[in-house]
Amino acid sequence: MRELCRTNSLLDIRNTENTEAFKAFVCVVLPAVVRKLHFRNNRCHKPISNSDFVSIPDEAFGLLILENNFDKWEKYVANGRKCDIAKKTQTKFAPTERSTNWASNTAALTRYNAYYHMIQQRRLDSEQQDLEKEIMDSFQEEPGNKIRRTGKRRFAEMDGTTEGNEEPMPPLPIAAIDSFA
Amino acid sequence: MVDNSDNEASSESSDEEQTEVREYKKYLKSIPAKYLKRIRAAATKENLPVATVNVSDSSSAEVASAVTCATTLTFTTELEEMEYLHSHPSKKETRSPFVFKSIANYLKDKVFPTVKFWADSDMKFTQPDFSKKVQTEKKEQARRICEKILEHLGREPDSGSGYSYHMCVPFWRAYRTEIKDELVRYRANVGSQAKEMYLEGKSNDMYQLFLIRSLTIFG
Repeated sequence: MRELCRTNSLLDIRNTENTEAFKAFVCVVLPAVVRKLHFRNNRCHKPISNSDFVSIPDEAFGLLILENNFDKWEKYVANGRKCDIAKKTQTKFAPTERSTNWASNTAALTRYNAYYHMIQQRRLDSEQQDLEKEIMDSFQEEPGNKIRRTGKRRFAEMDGTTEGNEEPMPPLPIAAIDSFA
Repeated sequence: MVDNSDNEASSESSDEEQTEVREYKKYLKSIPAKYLKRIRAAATKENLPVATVNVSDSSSAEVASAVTCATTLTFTTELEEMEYLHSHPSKKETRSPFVFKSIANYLKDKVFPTVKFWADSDMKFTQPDFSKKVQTEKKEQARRICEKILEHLGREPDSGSGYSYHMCVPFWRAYRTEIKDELVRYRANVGSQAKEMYLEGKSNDMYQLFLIRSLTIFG
């Protein structure tokens, strides 16, 4: 993804040779665009091309933000978050050094439109649909590999296991009398 | 109705009349100069004193083919009436924070996923033309969004084809700046959040799944 940003060829991000870059883009930029919670709630059962999940403007806007801020972010990475040099770095589409009003720049809007048309076309490709399915599947696998951090002790007790000791605990006794009746 | 022609007489009259005159003058100042000129022209045409002109409420003003009577403010076209609604200070809906909260939610969930930048020019955004009867897909962006928001707020359409400009203009005048600012704010939020995630170098544990080595920024 960095290489694509450096060479100013983010328009090719959906090409077959840039699969990894696209996956990185999906993981890093798209959650911010569609909101993290919405992304987390939908990533396992909806492909990215589903307009309820990630619309074409969302994806295009994510690419535009990445292109606009790439140089600045890279300077933050190189010099740390409190770096003055990075703060003073001008973003790509900003009219002046201090201005943050890049969205009304005609060049930015033209670029956004180019991204929009590219995404609109590429979403129909069968290769891209397969890739999106692959991403969705890998998201589905994810929760299984993850140990729950919240309420860990409680879940461990419910499963009959304790941390560090994988032997199952004896089941809890069942009430002999049904008090509900 | 106030008679202003006999100023001398009115100065001698009771205090009530004087306050009435003062209020009327104040009201005349609030009317845009363009309309005041038309009212005066109509009044002189009918040999009526200007001060006797009674400007009725715009909602009751009928769209007539010509200015027929100086006693009511009539508009030759819908556009003129709409311009009047756009410019008159009292023709603006009272802003409510609760309504705006509802608008903000709608913007966040429905508008922002599809609209990132305003396609309309500043003028078209500030004063959209609500008078034309065009198909939904051909309407201007601001007008379409305004009508959608009104629908979301549960306001009932006041004309057969949808919302008329009598309803849209005061609403749009009250909330347009907030609507614009809200979208700008969302854009800025997305930028800052994307920056945070980029600087972290990973997200959602997908990083480990795909082994994105290139993103190991601080590694």
